[in-house]
Amino acid sequence: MDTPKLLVVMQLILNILHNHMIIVLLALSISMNYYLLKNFNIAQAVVITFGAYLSYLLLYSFHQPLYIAIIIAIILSVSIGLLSELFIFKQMRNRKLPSFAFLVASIGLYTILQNCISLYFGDDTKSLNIGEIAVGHQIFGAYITTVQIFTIAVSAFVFIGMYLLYNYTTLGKQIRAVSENAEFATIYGISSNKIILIVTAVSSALAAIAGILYAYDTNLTPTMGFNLLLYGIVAMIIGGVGSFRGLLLGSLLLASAQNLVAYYLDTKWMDAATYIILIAFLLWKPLGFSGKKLKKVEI
Amino acid sequence: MSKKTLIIVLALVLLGGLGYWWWSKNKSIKPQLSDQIKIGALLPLTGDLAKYGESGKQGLIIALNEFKTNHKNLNCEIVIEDDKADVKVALSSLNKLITIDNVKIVVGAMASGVTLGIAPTINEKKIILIAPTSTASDVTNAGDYIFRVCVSDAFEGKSMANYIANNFKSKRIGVIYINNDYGVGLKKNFIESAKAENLNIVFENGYNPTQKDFRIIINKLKNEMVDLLYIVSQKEQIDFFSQCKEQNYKPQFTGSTMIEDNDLLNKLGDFLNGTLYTYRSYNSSDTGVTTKYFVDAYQKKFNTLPDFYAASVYDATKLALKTAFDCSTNNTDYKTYLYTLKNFNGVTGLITFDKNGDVQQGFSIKEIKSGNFFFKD
Repeated sequence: MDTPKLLVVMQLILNILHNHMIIVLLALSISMNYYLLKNFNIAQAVVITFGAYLSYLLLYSFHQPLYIAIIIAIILSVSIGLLSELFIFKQMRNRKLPSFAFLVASIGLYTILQNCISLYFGDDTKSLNIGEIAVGHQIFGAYITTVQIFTIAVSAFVFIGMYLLYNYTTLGKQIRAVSENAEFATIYGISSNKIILIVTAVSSALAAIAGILYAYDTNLTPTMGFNLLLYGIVAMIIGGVGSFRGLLLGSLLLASAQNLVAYYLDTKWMDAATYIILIAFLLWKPLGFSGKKLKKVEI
Repeated sequence: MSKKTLIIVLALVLLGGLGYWWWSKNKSIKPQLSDQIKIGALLPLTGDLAKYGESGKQGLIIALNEFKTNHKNLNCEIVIEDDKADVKVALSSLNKLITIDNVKIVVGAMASGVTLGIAPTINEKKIILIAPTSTASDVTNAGDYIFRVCVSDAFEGKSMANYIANNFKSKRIGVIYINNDYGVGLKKNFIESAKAENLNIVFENGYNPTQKDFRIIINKLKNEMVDLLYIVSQKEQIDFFSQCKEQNYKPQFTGSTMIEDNDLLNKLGDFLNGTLYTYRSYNSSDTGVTTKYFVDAYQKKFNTLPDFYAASVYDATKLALKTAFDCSTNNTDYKTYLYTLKNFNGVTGLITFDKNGDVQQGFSIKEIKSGNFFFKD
């Protein structure tokens, strides 16, 4: 292939930036959960999907204005996250089940809830953005849509917010304390149950926001959450659990790799590239970019 | 594994085996009602292709109702199983149809990949499969027991390539396709015919069925200055065309039967004006008796015009029911019956199977004009 034209390069950069910010949001949501609980919650994929579908429901069946629909959708998605935590995962922790049991249970929960969405909404592609499609804004010859600009802004805002929360507030310290050693934190009077609930709520909210933004940009299908969750997990593993800078870098590497592979090879290879990077990191750099001595990521 | 668990597992296996033997023995002595017609159907009612499966199921219901009105004293049943457009699911559904429902003839599958995936089982068990919409050219050689009521993609790709050669000879052509049996098959046929016509194909790109972000592809198309695009897509085309509009990219679009999709028109309205695509011989505004009966009954029941998928499943179901009925009255073999069948009158055209179980029908070129689908000729 010849060297691409300037406007094509510009377009590529915009696309990578947009994908990067979505993945950051997802990786953030997943790593909060993983950092604290040390097990993967696949059911989070369905929280992503729920966020998108609930906004769709509120917008077009209950005819709510956009901002109310989105706020209610986020609140409802958070309650789904909290309910599954309270009634399933907490009970499992109390029974001291091994970590693969959580994985299996969350896959089960994901399957059930995803099928509920399929049953209620049907499997066809829905669209949050039902208005006439408009031509995007032009920046140096490349095109970007309003939704994409908004996505980048929201993700950046949320990311900075979370960074400040974790590093400069008492709550952030408490979360880190419980993540490092829950029993020890309890001795100091930090209720680990409370912290777990707070983190579950926040990470569900982030997942729902990511789902809504993604759905606004492309469309909704009941299975959309799973791929997004995997991207988030891969970005988190590349970046290293519990490091904000690592998350940012991990997501950037993933987004760039996906876009460049798609550009220079074929879009068919996008997912393959994702997993090759994942395997390479698991083999040679299992702690991710950050290299912090946290627990190794185990599936 | 300890000895105890080993013994328990062995005992369970033994018990299961005994249970199965007893059950299958009981089943086989159950008497067969001679005045009962029972056929199976495999449709993608959930999963990625559910949209087409739903249309298909509605066509099937019309065919069943029609058959029931014509044969009032007959006990007639269609067992519909979901295949999720997934070979693994389809195989277990098919096994259920064969072993539990005991059907000898199955309508389905819609997706070419599924039909190809279940073909070995179909041939081995000597069950008849009548595929409504599996158009991939590989289905031709899938086996003696596989029939289909739609024309192979081999001809669809060729007819668009010919049209382009006659009208847009000098354009820089790009081809994008969905990476499944349907997409790869049709794309290959198009490219072969296009090369034979000396068309200038400058770009070729596949994408995964789950792909939603097509901006990279659009970016590459711009870079290659493609001004005629042939797209082999399924329902994800709506994302593709939306993003084309967002990125302000509008070459001459050309495509396959799949382009005729009302969701696409509702969403993109005038943007797609001038898009050309090949279409199969089904025409819902045809005034012939068969088509008119079907379209009226369908509209009455479902309040919308039947699309190509509904029509194909209707034809396949009608044919399957007729085969089961005629063969039980004349006591002929299903396979021989279908191969000797001449000019069965379906809404997608006259159906006569060749030695591969394929039909031969022509294609027309259609165009999107002022937000509607029109026949070009």
